[in-house]
Amino acid sequence: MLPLNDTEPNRYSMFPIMTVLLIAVNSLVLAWELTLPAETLNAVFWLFGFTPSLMWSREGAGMISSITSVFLHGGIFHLVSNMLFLWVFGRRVEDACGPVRFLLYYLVAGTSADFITALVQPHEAIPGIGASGAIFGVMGAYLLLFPEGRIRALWIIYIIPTWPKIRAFWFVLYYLVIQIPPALDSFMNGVHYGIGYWAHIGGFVACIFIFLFLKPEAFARYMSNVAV
Amino acid sequence: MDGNYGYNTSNQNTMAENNLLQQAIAAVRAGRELGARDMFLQIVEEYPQNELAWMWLIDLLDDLDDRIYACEQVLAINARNLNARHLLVRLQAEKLQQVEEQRIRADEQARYIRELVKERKLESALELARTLAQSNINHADVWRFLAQLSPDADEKIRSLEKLLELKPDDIQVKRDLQRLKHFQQNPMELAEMYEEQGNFEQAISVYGQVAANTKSKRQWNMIYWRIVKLENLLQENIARIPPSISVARLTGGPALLYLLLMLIQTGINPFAHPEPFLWFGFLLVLFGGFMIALASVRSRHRLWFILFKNVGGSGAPGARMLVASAGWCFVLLPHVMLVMIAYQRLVDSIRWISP
Repeated sequence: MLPLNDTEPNRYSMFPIMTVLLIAVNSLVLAWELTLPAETLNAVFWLFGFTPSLMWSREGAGMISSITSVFLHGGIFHLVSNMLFLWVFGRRVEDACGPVRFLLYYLVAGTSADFITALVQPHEAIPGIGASGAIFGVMGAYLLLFPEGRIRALWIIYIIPTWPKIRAFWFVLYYLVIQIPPALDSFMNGVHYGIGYWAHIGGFVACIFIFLFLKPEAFARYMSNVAV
Repeated sequence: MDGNYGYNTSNQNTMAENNLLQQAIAAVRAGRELGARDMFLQIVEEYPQNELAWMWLIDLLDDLDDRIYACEQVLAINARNLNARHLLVRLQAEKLQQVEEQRIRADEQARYIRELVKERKLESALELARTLAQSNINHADVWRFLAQLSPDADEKIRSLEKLLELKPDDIQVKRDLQRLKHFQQNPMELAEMYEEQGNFEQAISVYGQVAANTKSKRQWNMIYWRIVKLENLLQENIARIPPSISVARLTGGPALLYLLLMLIQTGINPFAHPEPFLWFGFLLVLFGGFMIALASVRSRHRLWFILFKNVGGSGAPGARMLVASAGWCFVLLPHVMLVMIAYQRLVDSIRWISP
């Protein structure tokens, strides 16, 4: 099941400038990655991806890798799937925060994803890359701010594609729930899945901080139990 | 009043004066008191030293203040007029009682206005305050309520000026008056102040007045959309969040990001590897976040006046931009230093890895 579009309009502004900029920057970074030879690309991932064991031993790029890892992707499919989620969920969250505060929140969610990964998997020596942690933070924020919101999703039942309007609440919950079993498995049994499930959960947990970034009007609407 | 009781009927009174006097007294005896009063008023206008005319007027005038004035005039002409002196004492006592009764009535009315305001019956409170103001009740609270409730800037200013006459040492009133005069020149700021305070009805009213007087289509459009927004907020009954809470809430965002980055940089153990600058940087980011939040949340504070002489109390756009810029400097500087420390460590790691 993939999200296709948010069906509700923005309230405070018309154009999601920061969402578009983030998608553009991520795309440019991937385009740059694709021009690199494999060895160099590997070195880039090791230097600028986030490695928990290096964080604990105070080696490597430290906080720089925490930021740069959010903008690196492993391939076109990796990028497109992340950016699709960012496009669908990011616009309204940006609308409620304003572009600058949305960027700050995005970085907080991405950093929080790395933070939680480092806490849960301190010996992990493989660098983590991708915007999924930040995007799970955006999805969590969407869930908090727009629980009644509906999104258009692509759902392929056997081979038949359908695109129903689903309450975002169920959509986000579904994606959160499917992170938990492999995350617990990797934690308890040390299984490597090649996907940062704890980063996704860590980014999602950061959604409680969205209230530090909301516009005053949006916050007032939230506190009045009125649609943000 | 019969005859002359020790009055100074000077032989210097002219014939015309005496004739008029006799006519006026005859009119009183005939029961034509109104006509007699007019005659006596004519006499004192032409012959202000006519003590007898003034004495008659004391009884014929209706207004207490006028009667006291007439007594004083008699005593100014003839200080030994005991009747006038006794009358003056009596009238002054009556005046005091009247003033006291007026004060008690005004206190009651002011209390009633206060009740109406508590019950949010603002229209009724305003109407009552206006009525009391028009009836010359000099009660500070009445003028204060009128200044608070009236949507009209001119009326507010007049009320505050009256209040200042009654309480010339009230600094708050002086400041409010200064601010209102500033708002009279800058009505958009006034509307924005009402908006910030949650007085949406008053904000809409002032925006409407500005829109009616504006010649700029752009400004008219902007005001139109603000009014629409406020009307929607009124309809939806959105809670008003105090600006202090918004400022406190928005201060935390940049500081949180810096804290996370700092903990990652120090291996989540800044105490084992103390780097005081990083902690100092956290305080700078917190301060910078506070300044950015202060500039972005429209709130009234005396500091805007002290620092930038902004009478409106909410900071002119230029002042806000300055504060926001300074805030961003405070936020970005520690981050830049953090990046430089991390970069140095990265370079050392690469040197260590390279052959």
